[in-house]
Amino acid sequence: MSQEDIIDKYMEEIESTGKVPSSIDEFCIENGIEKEDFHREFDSFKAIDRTIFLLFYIQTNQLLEKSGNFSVAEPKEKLLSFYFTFFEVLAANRPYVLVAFPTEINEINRLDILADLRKRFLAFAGDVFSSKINSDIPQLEKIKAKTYEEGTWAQLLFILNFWIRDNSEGNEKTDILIEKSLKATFDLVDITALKSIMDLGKFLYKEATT
Amino acid sequence: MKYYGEKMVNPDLDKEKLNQANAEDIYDSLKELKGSALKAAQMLSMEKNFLPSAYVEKFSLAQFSVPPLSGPLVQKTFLKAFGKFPAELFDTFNEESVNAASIGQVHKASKDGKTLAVKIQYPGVADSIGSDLALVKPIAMKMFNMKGADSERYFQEVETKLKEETDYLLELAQSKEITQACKHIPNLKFPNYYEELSNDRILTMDWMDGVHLSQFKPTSQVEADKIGQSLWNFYMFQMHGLKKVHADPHPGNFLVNNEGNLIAIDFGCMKIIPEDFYGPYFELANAANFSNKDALNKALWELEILREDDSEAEIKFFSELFSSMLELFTRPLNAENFDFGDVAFFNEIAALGEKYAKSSELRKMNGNRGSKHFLYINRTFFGLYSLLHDLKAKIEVNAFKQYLNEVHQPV
Repeated sequence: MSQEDIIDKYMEEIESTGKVPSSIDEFCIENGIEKEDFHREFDSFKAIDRTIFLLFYIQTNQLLEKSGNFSVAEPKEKLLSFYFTFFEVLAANRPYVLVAFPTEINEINRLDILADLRKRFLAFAGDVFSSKINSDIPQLEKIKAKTYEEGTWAQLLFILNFWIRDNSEGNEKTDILIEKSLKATFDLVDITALKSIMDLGKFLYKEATT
Repeated sequence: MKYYGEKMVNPDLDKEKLNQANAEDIYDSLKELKGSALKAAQMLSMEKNFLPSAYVEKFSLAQFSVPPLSGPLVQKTFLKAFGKFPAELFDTFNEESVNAASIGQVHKASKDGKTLAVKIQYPGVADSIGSDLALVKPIAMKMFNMKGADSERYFQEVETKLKEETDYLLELAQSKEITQACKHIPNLKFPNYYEELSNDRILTMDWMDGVHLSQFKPTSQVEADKIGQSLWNFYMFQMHGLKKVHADPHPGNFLVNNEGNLIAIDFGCMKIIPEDFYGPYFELANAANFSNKDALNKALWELEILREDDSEAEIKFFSELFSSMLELFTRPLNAENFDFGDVAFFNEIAALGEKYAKSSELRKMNGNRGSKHFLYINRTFFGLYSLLHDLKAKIEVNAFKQYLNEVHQPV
């Protein structure tokens, strides 16, 4: 039994029962999966979740690449397209996500099911913002890049949290949130005041280090 | 607040500045709101003769403060509506919107050799109407000194109309209905609408070549009169023939093409004129009744301008106010020919407006009066008058009557 089959069965079970299976043993028996097959691919249900969220990212990326002008789009358009597509992919699997995604504070340790998604997403965000970074003072720009990447990740989590509670038709309110929060982000990134402060920071940094 | 502050330091404060300061206050509280509050601001800005000019400038800014939809959201909106991207649905689709309306934006597209205008609504507009209006309400109640629970009816009327405007399928149906009913009126053109490329949030129609009425510069009086007459006939036919009227005579909703035809677009806001309003309203408008105090009084009660709980002073004040207002506003309706280029007429309206805007007497009285139907019917007349004034058109007032016999039923 392949990894893909196990994932399918796992998601089907969650969607029909509304909860994570109680044990690996039980899950394997009920779905006719050899335990060796399961353990060859995954060591826990959490590991399946982690893979699924990574697959959401990969599927999003494939869809985006198919839509012609994505690679040449402006940073803001790129990020917008990513979000809209990502949440479409999630919407297709909404019952699963509602069960798997940690919504309570005591489940915060479950956030690590996003670990693989996070790695890929940070790289993507770094790439998107690369045009907003110039490299005259590498140390400072590295901090800036890190800030953008982490900030964007925090934004994704924030929108994800909103989406989970969003009961509007077609999750329209999430679309509005994406539109408005990205506009705000890029207005901030492009704002002259921020650039001036960066410029001042660069000067002071240079003076302090030379 | 600003009034007293500024007045203390500068007792000679000129009125324009005072108005400006107040208008800015009101505008600042309105501009934070989107969508329907914008529409409400637009409604106020239509009545430009009734509001001192400083208000008008601020309120018309309101139309430009919604950020356009991003390209990716436009794509997503189409995907959700039709399961296809705009590029698959049309032969060409321009991603840059050509202009923004208060609740949507317009893209140029083409299909099967036809050039099309595709209007896309901002998401969430329909949802936010109720909450936006709740925010405007206290401001409006204070501005117009409305007392009593039944002032709710005005807000309900606006809310209903605004909600209707967010339903593009309703707009499509209304457009088809009007196009059919008015096809025999000369020099009047309408775009075709495409159901298969429309839904409640997306409206596809023919791209109409022409200049917006606000930018149209007639080369001669004859040309101005021709456009003005078409506009007049169109509106009077709707009022009296259909008893249902395009209640948004905004210059952005009309184009003039190079054959001198008037093109009407945007039928989002239609007002049905109920019989029990139509009767007394146009009776009031009839010059003969000004001298007949009893008839005038009867109509004022029927139109809810006078209230049971009015004091004697209020009855006297409002009877006089409305007689002088009506005599003035209905002057064009009671003439054979009317010159809307007549500056004196519009100055008179403005002077009357200023007089009552400043009236401390009026401010003390309950402003919650008048049938709710006044809102959109008055807006329609104000809009029509100011469009005709901008054109400086001379109108043959009763020319529309020849089209009344031919009322095409909607198909």
